[in-house]
Amino acid sequence: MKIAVCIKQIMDPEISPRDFKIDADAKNAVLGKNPLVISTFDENALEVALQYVEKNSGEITVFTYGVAKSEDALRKALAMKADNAVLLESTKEAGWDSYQTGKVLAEGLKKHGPFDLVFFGRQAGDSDAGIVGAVVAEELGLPLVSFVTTINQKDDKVFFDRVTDEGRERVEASPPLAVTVTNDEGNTPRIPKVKDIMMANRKQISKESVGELPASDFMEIISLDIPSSDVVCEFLDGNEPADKVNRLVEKLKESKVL
Amino acid sequence: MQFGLTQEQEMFRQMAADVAKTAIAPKAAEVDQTGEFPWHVVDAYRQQDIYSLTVPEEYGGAGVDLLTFCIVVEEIAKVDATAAIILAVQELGLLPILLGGSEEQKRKYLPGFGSGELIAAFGLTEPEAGSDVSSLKMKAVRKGDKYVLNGTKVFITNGGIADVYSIFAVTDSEAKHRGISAFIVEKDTPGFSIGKIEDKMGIRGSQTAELIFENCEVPVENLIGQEGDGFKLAMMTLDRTRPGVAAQAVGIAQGAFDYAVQYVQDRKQFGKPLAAFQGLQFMLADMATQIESARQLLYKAASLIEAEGKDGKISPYINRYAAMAKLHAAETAMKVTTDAVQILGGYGYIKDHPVERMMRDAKITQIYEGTSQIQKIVIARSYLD
Ligand SMILES: Cc1cc2nc3c(=O)[nH]c(=O)nc-3n(C[C@H](O)[C@H](O)[C@H](O)COP(=O)(O)OP(=O)(O)OC[C@H]3O[C@@H](n4cnc5c(N)ncnc54)[C@H](O)[C@@H]3O)c2cc1C
Repeated sequence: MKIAVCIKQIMDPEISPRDFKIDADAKNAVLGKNPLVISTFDENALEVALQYVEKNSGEITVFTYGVAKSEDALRKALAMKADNAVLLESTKEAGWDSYQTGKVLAEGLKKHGPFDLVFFGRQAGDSDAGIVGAVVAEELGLPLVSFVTTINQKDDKVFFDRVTDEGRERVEASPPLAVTVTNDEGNTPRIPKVKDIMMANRKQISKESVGELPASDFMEIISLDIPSSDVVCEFLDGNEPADKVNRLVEKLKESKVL
Repeated sequence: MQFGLTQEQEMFRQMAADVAKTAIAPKAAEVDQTGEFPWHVVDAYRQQDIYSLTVPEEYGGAGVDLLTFCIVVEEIAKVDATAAIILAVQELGLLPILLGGSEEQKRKYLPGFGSGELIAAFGLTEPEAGSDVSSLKMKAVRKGDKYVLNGTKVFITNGGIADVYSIFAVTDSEAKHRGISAFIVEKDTPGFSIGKIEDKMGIRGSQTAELIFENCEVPVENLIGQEGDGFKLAMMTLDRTRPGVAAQAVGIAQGAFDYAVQYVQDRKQFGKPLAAFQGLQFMLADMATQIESARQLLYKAASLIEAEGKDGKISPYINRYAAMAKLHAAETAMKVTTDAVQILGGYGYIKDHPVERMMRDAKITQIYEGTSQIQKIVIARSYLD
């Protein structure tokens, strides 16, 4: 099985809210001294792919579209034991146009493919758009199985466990196809081991320049800000608990909560 | 001199931070309370190959440089000093064999130390020989193809936990420090037993025990190097492990500082966050500057020892910088953790906040592997002798 996993490098979403700042003019988050990491669901996707290969067989190539610094994300993926890595290198940070990102990735995948399974996280941890996987599937003419948590193979049938609004379901589908992965207990990303970190640093990463893409022609961010929330604390008077409850219900109705 | 870390070193730091966060931090307070040895930490190290770090590749390890090892210890100490010393002592216990052992001894033990299947310990200190190592009393008398060991070691980290001990004993009492020899003692050797297990102020999950040797016979093959090599081996070992203790100290200090920085932004008094008071800002500035200077000295020492001390070579700078790094880091850890407690006020004194534990843990870094006073003696001698 030839497998591709597309990963994105993002600002660590687990930083304290205090360290999260926005540059309103640039309409972007300020990286500052915050660390860069592999987007969370993308790490889950890589973990699902790794587990699949360990149980069955296959070769995993990770792809990222980003600036030179994104190499760190690929290096970590190699340390988690992906086999190969490709950097589709841009001279400028990718914008928020998921369609453009999807097209760049699709070109890279075509060049290095064809792949039997192409993995994505269900959405990026910064934009939360959840579009790239679907765009790439469309560009490559592949069917898409979304919100997958685990993959199993019996004989030559591949089963995908996925999360739905109602619960969970298992679908059978035959590759080639694209998969988006959601997090689950069973696909918590592994921490790379000491010797795998060393091996990862001895591997070559293939770098291919995609230059600077033109500005998106159908998407523009108009404004970006951090929603503010105010907490107002009000004490309700009343002699009996029943009085207080009545007043509380009134208040809740007034503020349209009930 | 290079000030940045390599990408690989950054990856090791991140790996250690992830292990610290997921496998160590959640139970650090509980381990401190119960004082029970944290086997789950050992399991995490085994699982991640962390014990393999400093074991050379030809013996199945990863063979990373000393600086990388220190970065890992530092990262772990940010959340738990007990877990950090468990890792650092593996190095302390195995180094006499790595530096002075025969090829056969290395093949026999190093792969096990690297996988974590074997846990190591280092037995030098005795009731009457602490700072003054040359006054060791424990005897090793040759009898045919055996040495017979008699005496007591105290305060041995990993005592009762370790599988293999590097033990220092006197083979020639006339020759003073040149009469000390080093031996490998396996845990089940008849005549070797564990005495008192100490109840400590800090690093409470690390087991510190008395080792008792009563007509304990070890085969002559277990002598490390030649008779009389022991003192030199102990000193060479300490030169290479003091940076590990310094890394532990820098980590403790950083952990306490990070906690204090968060706290001052949340806690309000006089209608303002504590962070708004210049009196506390100045404390934070001093703490940060001390930590950074301790870290830079540590990184310099580790790089220098790596460059000059390969293959057991002796260089006058190794001794000096190892002592400077440990002295400065330990003093910094004690000062910074005490200030962190102060910044939290009453809350800092309560076990609900980790700075209370960190302050108790910091103290040991001024004591073991040579007290701060002894480090000063070493540093001064490196200029005067
Ligand atoms: C938790 C813990 C773990 C330890 N782990 C190990 C281990 O794994 N292996 C091992 O071998 N040992 C271990 N030790 C022992 C440790 O290294 C010694 O405790 C330390 O070296 C100090 O020796 P001492 O306790 O006998 O103090 P002493 O030597 O009695 O010193 C008492 C005081 O006198 C000062 N002093 C001594 N000589 C001088 C001098 N010439 N000039 C100025 N001041 C001086 C010291 O700095 C100290 O302040 C451990 C100790 C502890 C507490």
